[in-house]
This record gives sequence, C-alpha cells and structure tokens, in this order.
Amino acid sequence: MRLRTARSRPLLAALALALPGLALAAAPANPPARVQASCTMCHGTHGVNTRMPYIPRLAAQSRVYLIEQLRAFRDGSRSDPPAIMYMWPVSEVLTNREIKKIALWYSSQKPPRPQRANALLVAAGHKIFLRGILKKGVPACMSCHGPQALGDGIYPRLAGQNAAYIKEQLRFFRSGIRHDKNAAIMHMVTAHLSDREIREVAAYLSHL
Amino acid sequence: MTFSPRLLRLLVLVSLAAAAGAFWAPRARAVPSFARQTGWSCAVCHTIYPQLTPIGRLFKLEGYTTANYGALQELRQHIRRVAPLAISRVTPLSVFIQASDTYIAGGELNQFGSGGATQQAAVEFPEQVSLFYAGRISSHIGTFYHLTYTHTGGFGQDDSDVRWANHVHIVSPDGNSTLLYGADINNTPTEPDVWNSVPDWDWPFESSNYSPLRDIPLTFIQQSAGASEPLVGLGGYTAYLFGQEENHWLYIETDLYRSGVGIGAGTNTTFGAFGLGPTHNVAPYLRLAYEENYPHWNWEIGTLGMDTHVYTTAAASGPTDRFLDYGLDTQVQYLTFDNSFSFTAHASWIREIEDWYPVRSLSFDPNPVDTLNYADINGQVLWRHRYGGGLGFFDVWGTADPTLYGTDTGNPSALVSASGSPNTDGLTIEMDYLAAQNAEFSLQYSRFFRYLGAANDYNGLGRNASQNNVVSLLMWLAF
Ligand code: HEC
Ligand code: HEC
Repeated sequence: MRLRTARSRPLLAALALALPGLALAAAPANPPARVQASCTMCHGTHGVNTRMPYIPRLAAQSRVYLIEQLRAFRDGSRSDPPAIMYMWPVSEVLTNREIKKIALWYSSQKPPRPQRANALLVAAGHKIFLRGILKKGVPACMSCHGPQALGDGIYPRLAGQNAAYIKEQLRFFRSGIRHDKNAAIMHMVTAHLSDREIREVAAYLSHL
Repeated sequence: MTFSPRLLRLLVLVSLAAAAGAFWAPRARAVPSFARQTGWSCAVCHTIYPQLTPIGRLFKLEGYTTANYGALQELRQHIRRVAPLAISRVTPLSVFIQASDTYIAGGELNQFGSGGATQQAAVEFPEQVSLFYAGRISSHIGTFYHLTYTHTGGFGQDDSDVRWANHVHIVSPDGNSTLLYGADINNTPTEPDVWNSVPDWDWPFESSNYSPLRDIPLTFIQQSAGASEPLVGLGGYTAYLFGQEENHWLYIETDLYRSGVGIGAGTNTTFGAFGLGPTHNVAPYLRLAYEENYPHWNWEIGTLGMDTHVYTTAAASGPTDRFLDYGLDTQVQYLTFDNSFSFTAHASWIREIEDWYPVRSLSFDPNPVDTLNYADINGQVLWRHRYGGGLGFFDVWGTADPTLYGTDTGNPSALVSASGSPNTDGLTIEMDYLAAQNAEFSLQYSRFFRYLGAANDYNGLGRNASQNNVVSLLMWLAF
C-alpha cells in the first residue's frame, strides 16, 4: 500500500502498529484519477451513490472481494449480461496496481445508507438471513456474509446494497449465468430460493 | 436594405425549403469516437440511434468526459507556471455517411425538400456526410462537434455543443444525492437535451431530403433543429439525482440564443420561413424535465419554452416579429438488462404564438397573430440490436394564413394550400435492419391524411394529400 500524503503517515503508522486490520482500511485522501475518469459516472466517486438501481454500491465493500470481482470482469470469468456490457470494457485496461488502488478507495468509504423497504418483506428476509430455510436446504446467509452482512474477504458486504441489484444477482446465481471463481457457493445457496424469497432477502439487506 | 416583392418571394421559397428541410434532416447519432473512448458498444448508451438510454443520458450530462481508454496525456512543459496541458493521444474523430432512395406517390420530387430531383426513385449518395469531433477535451470539458456536408454541396455547422461539467454529492435526509451541473455553448435549441421527445432529437431520426415530411409547417424551435437557423446559445444545466437509489432525476436547463455570424454554408442565413433578420436582443429558452428510473423502465415528463423576437428585415433595426413557443413532452422506455430488447415511446406537443409585423411594402401581410401547433406520438422497438421498427403519428394545426401557406407564397404548387391552412397530419412506419451496430438500413413509409389543409385537392390544382405519400430506402454508416 502506498500512502498518498506525507501528513497522514505518522497517524497511519501508529494505527498500523496498533491495529493492522484498520491500517489497510485507512482512506486515501483523494480518489484515484481512474475512479473520477471511469467509475464516477455509474458508481459515484464515493460508491454510495449509484446512478441506476441495477448498478451496485461499492462503498465499504470488502477490499478483497472488490479485487476479485475486478479481476473476474477483466479475465471474463464474471460473464452475466450487464457484466459483459458495462464492466468488461471498463476493467479491460486496469492494471493490478490500479485495481488495488481502486479497491482500497471504495472499501474505505463510509457505508451507504439503508434503503426504505416494505416491513413485511424485511421481516421475512431477516428470518432467511438468520436461519436459512431448513426444509429447502437453504443455508443462513449470515454464516458467510456475517451477522450484520458486512462481508469480509471473499464474502461481499450486502448491507445497504441496492435491492434491485441484489435481486438481479441472486437470479444470475440461480440460473448459473454468474459463474466467476467463488460463485459456485452461491449457486448452491440460491438453487431453491423462490422469487418471493429473493424479494424478501433483498428488502432486508438493502434496509440494513 | 429593402426587398422587392419578387425577391421576397424567392427568399420565402428558398428559406421555406431550407428551413423546413433542415428540420427533418438526418441528425446526429451515436458517435463511434465515444465508443472508442469508453470501450462500450453503442448499445450501452443508445437503443436505435440516436435514442439514448439512461446511461447515455448520464454520459452526456457528465460532459462526454467518462473514459476508459486513451488516458489523457500530460504534455510536459519545461517552462514554469504555464497552464497545464493534458490531451487525448487519439483524436476522437468519427464519420457518418448517409444515403437514400426516394419514391413519391404523385411524383414531382422537385417540389419537395431541397428541390432538384425530377426522377422517381431519387438516389442520394451521399445524402449527407458528417464529421465529428466527439469526446473529452480535458477532464471536465467535452464536445460533440459536428460538421455536415449536405446535398446542397457544402460543409456547414450541424448541431453541436461544447460543455464543461462537474458534480457534487449532497448528503440529504433520504440518503445521498448528486447534483450534476454544467455550462455549454451550442447552436440549436434542445440540442443539449437528453431525451428524444424534443425537436432536435425527435423521431423519425432520418428521412430523405426529398420527402414531403420536410415541408410540413413547423414552429420556430422545430425549424432550428440540426443547426438550421443561425443561432448560438450560451447555457447552463443541472441534473439533480435524488431518492434512495438516486433514481429520480430533475433536469433544468436555460439558454440564451442570439443570431450568430459566419456560421457556414450548410445553414441558411435567414430565420424561419420568411427571410427574416437577426434576433432582437436574446431569445431565452427554458427546459424542465423529470425522470424516474427502475431496473427495466424509465419515464420522463417535461416542458420547454422559448421566446424569440426577430427583426422583420435583414437590417437589425425597426419592427420585429415574435415567436413564442412552449411545449410538453413525455417519454417511456423499457430495456432488458443487456438492452437486447428495447421499446421507447414519445409524445410531444408544441404550440407557437406568432406575432407578425406586416411589411406591406413588401407585400408581406400575414394575420397579426397566428398560432401553430405540432403534436406527435411515436414508438420504436429494437431487438437484438439487429431488427428494429417504428410507428408514429403527427398532427399540425393552426390558423389559416394565406400569406404564410397560401397561393401568394411563391412556393412550388405542391406546397401551396388553397385554403391557406397549415393543417397536415399523417403517419410514418419504419423498418430497420442493423447489419452491424454501426450500419443501418431502413425502409420508411409516410402517409398523409391531410396536407396543407385538405385531403383532396388541397392546392386548388387537383393534388391530393395521398400523392405526397413517400417511400424511402435509407442507409446509415458510422465509423
Ligand atoms: C456504465 C456504468 C458503469 C461504469 C462507468 C462502471 N461500472 Fe462497475 N458496474 C456497473 C454495473 C451495471 C455493474 C453490475 C454488473 C453485473 O450485474 O454483473 C457493475 C459492477 C461492478 C463491480 C461488482 C460489484 C459487486 O458487488 O459485485 C465492481 C467492483 C465495479 N463495478 C467496479 C467498477 C469500477 C472500479 C469502475 C471504474 C473503473 C466501474 N465499475 C465503472 C456499471 C458501471
Ligand atoms: C457458504 C457461504 C455463503 C452463504 C451461506 C451465502 N453466501 Fe452469498 N456469497 C458468498 C460468496 C463467496 C459470494 C461471492 C461470489 C462471487 O465472488 O461470485 C457471495 C455473493 C453474494 C451476493 C452477490 C453480491 C454482490 O455484490 O454481487 C449476494 C447478493 C449474496 N451472496 C446473497 C446471499 C444471500 C441472500 C444468502 C442467503 C440466502 C447468501 N448469500 C448466503 C457466500 C455465501
């Protein structure tokens, strides 16, 4: 990791000593030029604003997951239709170094705000999130995505994600269209999820 | 300067043809240099060109500056304290070539559009050739700059803008929102707009130079489409994107237009249909629109207005005529996630109040006040970016005025209304085949129910509206 400003260095160094995990998450002061030139139009500079419901929010997303996904777009392994159409050309020219910088930038932004959602859907989604659906063999989402759905490592943060994006991705997993490296796990999870249940978890997660 | 009645007639004739003709002129579309800059296929920003998708609207609102390829190159200068220079390595140039072949039911192609063609199945290759410089100039400045070679044999300025754009994020109780804002200089009212329900971008997106569609009486703001009037506008716009998914957009644009000088061969140098002089002061233009976006659907509703005073003669003094235009428009769009199927529908209505100052010495004696209305509704589909089609109805109605539409205009007989009425309505059907995203072939048919006031014998010489029905084969290549 390269620090951007000399001034923040002592502070970061102290943090790095005390809490190695946090030091990685320390926000660079300014967005990488690539973010402004190539990503802002759709994801916003800070990743909390997305300009269309099917574009994911990137703020506070797991850094490792962001790196994985940008590589998966670049090598073509994440190949659902919007990935091909929008993200392949964007990622094609990114270097590993740029990917790391971008991932650091978005992962260290303030998380997005919760979205409003129908209370009944939220309650039903909460249940699925905590306990899964036993009789269908759907595992509890929290076992991988974390009790608050904050994600970690290869497990993406889902809290505050756009509901429309979550619904779309769950359908892509279920039909197998999204089949990047770690997607097999989600194929299993979504195999027996109904459209109704997808709406419920999407409402709950976007509402967090 | 004074005109003899004969000269005035000639002016009327030439400018009516040119102004109305230019309105229906094939207009700007998807530009390959935007694709070169972003790496996105045309389909990311367009359905059938130049119809924009919401992503295309954002790209334009952000000043055409989004880029994935061809990073701006910093040119190092060894002199201190000079302004920075960062430019594209590759110049964003594009070319359009359009061709057409036209057949009019009742013949007499020489009466329509730019005149000249006397043979059925009039072929134009090129119908027009456009050169574009389209893309970013610096990180906040971009341009859509458009020169066109027309059938009349010269290059001229076509609808263009240069814009500076920026945005701020605003924390609101609802979450976050974004304010996009920009300033631009352009040469066509509604050119800076991002919906296809306004005159400069309305359907049909292409038609032949010899189509009687081009001679329909139109309002001032419609006649200016495609830089057909010598206007230059300075404007500003903001788009406020709000709501928890930022899917509510409010767009406000204002411009001030004034006659430009030295604009080029392709544009006519007089205003509207009547050889008028330059603008008096400036003509304000105001636009308000609201859009909502859902994963597959988006819809827009908007309003616009423009108030133009122009001198009655080329001398920039003396009495003026006034064109007050205002309108409503709406657009609904359906897109699949990969845009492999799309449907877009538009409806618009524009009303114009014309205050004429008669110049009796020039035998120009219209009613003191005329109104002219234009309404249309149309829809287009595109499947797999390969097969497309469109259907639209239009209706023009207004005050009968023999000076403007009647027997004493000096127009060709097919463009004369015996009753002096502008009333014209009809439909257009189009089928499109895209051999590639940048190579389109269309078959277009327009049928007129009424032409200049009547279905039968509208010009008093036995010509029926149906004799103006027209079939065109159109080709468009972009690279
Ligand atoms: C034209 C709009 C657009 C632009 C510009 C854009 N993206 Fe995306 N991005 C999308 C869409 C749409 C998706 C969803 C793809 C899918 O459904 O598979 C996406 C998905 C992503 C994802 C996956 C997130 C997740 O939760 O799985 C990442 C990471 C990402 N984009 C990063 C970027 C970066 C970094 C840039 C700039 C270099 C960028 N994007 C520019 C539209 C865009
Ligand atoms: C066994 C671990 C595991 C469980 C259980 C699990 N997930 Fe996932 N999930 C993952 C992994 C790993 C990914 C990343 C997949 C990839 O990289 O393609 C993921 C991705 C996702 C994504 C895509 C996020 C994005 O930004 O694109 C969504 C949405 C999601 N999971 C929802 C759920 C829901 C809802 C449940 C519960 C019904 C669930 N997950 C249960 C491991 C799990």
